[in-house]
Amino acid sequence: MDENKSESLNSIKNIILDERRLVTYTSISKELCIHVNKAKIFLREFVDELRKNKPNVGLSVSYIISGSLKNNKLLTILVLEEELVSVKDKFSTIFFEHIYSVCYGHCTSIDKSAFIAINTFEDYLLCKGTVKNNICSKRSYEEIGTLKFKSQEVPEKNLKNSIKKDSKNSIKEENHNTQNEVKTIKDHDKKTDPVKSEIPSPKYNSVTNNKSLDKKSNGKSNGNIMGFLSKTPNVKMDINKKDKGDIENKTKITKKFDREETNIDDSSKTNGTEIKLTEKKSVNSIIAQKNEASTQKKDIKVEKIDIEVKVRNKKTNQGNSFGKKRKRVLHVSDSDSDCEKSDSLADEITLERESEDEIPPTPSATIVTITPGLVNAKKRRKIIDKTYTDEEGFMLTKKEEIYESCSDDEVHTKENVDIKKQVTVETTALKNVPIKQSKKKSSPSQKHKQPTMMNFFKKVPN
Amino acid sequence: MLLKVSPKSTADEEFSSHDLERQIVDYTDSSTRFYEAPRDFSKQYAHIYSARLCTFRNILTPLIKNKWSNKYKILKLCDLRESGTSCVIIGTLFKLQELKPSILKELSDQLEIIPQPTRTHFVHDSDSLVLEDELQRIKLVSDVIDIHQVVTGVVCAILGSEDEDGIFTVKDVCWPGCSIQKPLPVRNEDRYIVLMSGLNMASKSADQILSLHLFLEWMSGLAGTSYYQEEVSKIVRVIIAGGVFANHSDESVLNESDVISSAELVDSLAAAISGVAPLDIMPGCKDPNDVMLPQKPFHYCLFPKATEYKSFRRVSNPYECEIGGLLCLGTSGEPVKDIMRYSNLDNSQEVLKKTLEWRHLAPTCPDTVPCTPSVDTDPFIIYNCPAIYFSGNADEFGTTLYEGEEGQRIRIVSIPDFCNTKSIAIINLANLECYSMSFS
Repeated sequence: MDENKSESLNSIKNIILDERRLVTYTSISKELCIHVNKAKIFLREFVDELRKNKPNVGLSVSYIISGSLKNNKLLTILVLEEELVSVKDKFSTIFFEHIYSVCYGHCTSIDKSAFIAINTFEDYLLCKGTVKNNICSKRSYEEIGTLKFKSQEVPEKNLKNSIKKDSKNSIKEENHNTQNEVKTIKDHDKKTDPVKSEIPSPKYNSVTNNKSLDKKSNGKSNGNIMGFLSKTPNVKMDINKKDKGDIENKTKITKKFDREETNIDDSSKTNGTEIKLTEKKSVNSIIAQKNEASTQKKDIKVEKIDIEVKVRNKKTNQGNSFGKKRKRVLHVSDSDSDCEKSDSLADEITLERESEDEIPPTPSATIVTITPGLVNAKKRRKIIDKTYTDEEGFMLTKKEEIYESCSDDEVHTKENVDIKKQVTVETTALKNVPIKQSKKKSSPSQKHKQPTMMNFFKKVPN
Repeated sequence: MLLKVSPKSTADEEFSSHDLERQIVDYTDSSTRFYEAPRDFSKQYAHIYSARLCTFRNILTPLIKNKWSNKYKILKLCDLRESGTSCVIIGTLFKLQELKPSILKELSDQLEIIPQPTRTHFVHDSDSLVLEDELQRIKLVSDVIDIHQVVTGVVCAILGSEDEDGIFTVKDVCWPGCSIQKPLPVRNEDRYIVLMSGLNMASKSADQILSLHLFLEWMSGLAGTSYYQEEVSKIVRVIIAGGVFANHSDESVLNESDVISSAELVDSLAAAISGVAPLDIMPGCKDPNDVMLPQKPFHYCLFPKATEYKSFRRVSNPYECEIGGLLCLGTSGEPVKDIMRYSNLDNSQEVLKKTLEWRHLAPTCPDTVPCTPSVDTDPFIIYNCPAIYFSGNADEFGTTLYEGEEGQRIRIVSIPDFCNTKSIAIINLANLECYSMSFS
C-alpha cells in the first residue's frame, strides 16, 4: 500500500513538475488507475509536500466547493486557491471542498478550455469510484438489433400488406392503403392475364386443327422443334410448300440446325419427317444440356410469339414466300408443355445462332430475300465462297461479295476486280495458313443482313 | 438529505475508497397516448376540439352539481331561449384577439409598404371572449373572468344568463380543476430525481461545457467526500426536458451543420449520463424532431453510443411516467411559452398552476401551438393528477408546492435553461422538496 502510494506520488510529481501538465483528480484517477478519493488525497499530499520541501516552486491549485448559498440555492463552483476564502464566505453551508486541479506555474484565472481538453465525457466512466448500478449496463447486440427493428416496425395493417407484396414478388412500395394493395394485385394479375389470354388466339386454334393433320401426315408427335414449326398456319403452309417445293430451302433448314449439333446430309431431304428427326436430335441434345425455362420466360416468349405471329401475318399478306418469313427463326409456343420446351430450346438455339452470327441488324426494306422463281430487280449484295489456288499451291476459299442486279455483268466485273484485290491482299498474309473450311463454321452473313435459312445451302464446300 | 453536511472526520475517512451502487426505484412509462398519437393529416383540427369538449362535458357535469347543486339547468347554446334566465352552459373559450397573427393579415400585409414590427406579446385591451360549443358560439361579458388570464381552448362551465342582445352575462365560472390524486407513497429514505433542460449543445461554449463536466463529475459520484457520494448515489433518475441541441432562447432556426457537429457531443454526454444513472431524454421544439406536439422521441440514430445502455430512454414531449409511485408529468416548455404570449400571465409558475386548473397541458393546441390532428381523443388532457409537474426551458428556476381543493399535492417545477443559468432541479421523492443546483 505504501509502495503504491509512493509510486503514485512519484508519478504525479513527474507529470506536474517534469511534464508540466495540468492534472485534475479525475485525470490522475484515470491515468494511474486509482480510486478518485485516493487521487484527491495524493494530490493534496503532493501539494503539501512540495510546498514544504520546495517553497520556491510555483503551483497553481484550484478547488471545487459545493454548498448552499444564503438564498437556499445550491452551488458547486471551481475556484482558485487565492479566491477560496472569499468564496467560502458566500456559502451558508459547505457540503464538501477538495482539490480539483494542480498545475505548474501561476494562473490568474481558471482556464476552462484547458479543463475541457483534459477529459472527455467518456473518460468519467473509466475512473474508479463512479456510482452506478445494474441498470446502467450495456445491451447486447441482439437487444440493440431488436430495438432498431421495433423502431422500424410499421402498424399491423401495413405489415400485412408488405408481407403480401413480398410474397407475390411485386414492386416494393410502402403502401398503407389496402385499396392500393388490391390495385397492385389486380395490376399484377392483369400483367399476367393478358399474356395468358393472348396465347389461345384464333390463329393458334387453326394451327391446332392443322396440327392434327400434321400429325397424321407426319405420324410424329409435336414435341419437337418441327412441332412448333408445324403449328403456325403460315409455317405449316410453308412446310407443306417445302414438302412440295424447293429442295434447296429444305436443305438450308437442315443445315441451319445441323450447324450446331448434328451432321445432316447435304443431300436434299424433301421429307419433312427427316427434318423433324434431325431437329429432334438437336433438340433432345439441347434439352439434356439445358434446364427448363421458367414460367416467366415462357410468358415473355409467348409475348414474343404473339408479336412475331403478328409480324408474320403481315408478311403473309405480301406473299407466302418461305424465305421472307424465315428470315428470323420463329418460335411458336403452344399450350402443350412439350411445345413450350421446344420453344424454349428454339429460343436458346436462336440465341446461340445469333451470338455466333454476331446478330446483324434487322433487314432493311431494300433487301430482298432469295425466293425460288422470283427475280428481284433491285441490286443485292451477295456473299459467295470462291475457292482457288494460290501461288504455292494451297487451296484458298474466300468469301467474296457480289452484287446481283439487272446490270449484273458490269457491276459484277467491277466489283470482282475490287474484291479480288482485297482477296490477294488477304492471301499474301495467309500463305502458310492451312486451309480448311470448317463445315461447322457458320455462314458469314452478308453485312447488314439477317442470316436466312437459305444461307445454309450456300455454304456447300466443293 | 443531499444537503447534509459530512460529519467531521480524518482526511482518510473523508475520502475513503469505496464502491457505491446507485439506488433503484420502480419506474413505469405512462406516455402511451403521446407515442400513439395519430399522424393522419387528412383530418381537420375541429375533431380535437369536439373530443376535448365531449371529455370535459363529462368531467364538468358532476363538478357543476357539486358547485351549484341542481339549481340551474345545463343547456346547450342552441337551447338558450329565455333571456334573463340563469343557466349553465359548457363550451370552449375563444379569445378574439386583434393582434393575433393571421395568415390572411400576413398576405394583406405584403402589400403594405411599411413593415410591421415583429411582436412577441399579442394581448390587447380590445380582446373579447366567446364561448363555443358543438353548434354555436356566444359572446361573453364578465367581471368574473379576467380575459387576460385565459387563453383560447380552455373548456369551462359558465353560470349566467343571456340578455336580449344575445350576449351572455357571466355570473360564475367552474373550471375543471385537478383530478383526484392517487395517494402518495410514504417513503422513509431519500430518493432524488434530477430535472434539466436547455443544454443547447449546438452552441459549444466553453463555459457551458465545463459546467456539464462539473455536473457529470457530481452526478457520477466522483466529486465530494465519501459521505456526500453516498447521498449522490440516491439520485435515481435524470430527465432532460428538451432543448438538447438548441434552446428556446435562441430564436434563430437551427442549421443542419450545427446539429451534425453537435450530435457526437450530445451522444457522448447522453452515454456518459446513462452509464451512471437512468436517463430520459425529451425533444424540444428546436431540436431535430417534428415540431408538432406531441413530439415523438428522438431517433435512435442520433444516439449510437447512448443506445447501448439499458438505462437510456428516448421519450416523448409531453412525457408522463411513474417514478417510485409518484406520477411525473411535464413538457419541454412550448405550451407554457405560448400561453404567456397570448395572455398576461408572465410567470411560468402561474401558467403551470392555471393549466392544472384547466386540467389541460396545452389548451392553445392546435390554435397557436402546432399539433397533429386528433379525431377521437385529446391527448393533452390531464387525466391523472400528477405529483410532479414540470416545464422545461424556463428563463429561471421556479418551484411551488400546489395544493388542490381535494388535498392534491403537486410539486410544480420550472426547469431553467442550463445554457444560460447552468442550473438543474433536484426533487426529493420522499417529501417533494425541490432545489436548484448550479455548476459554475
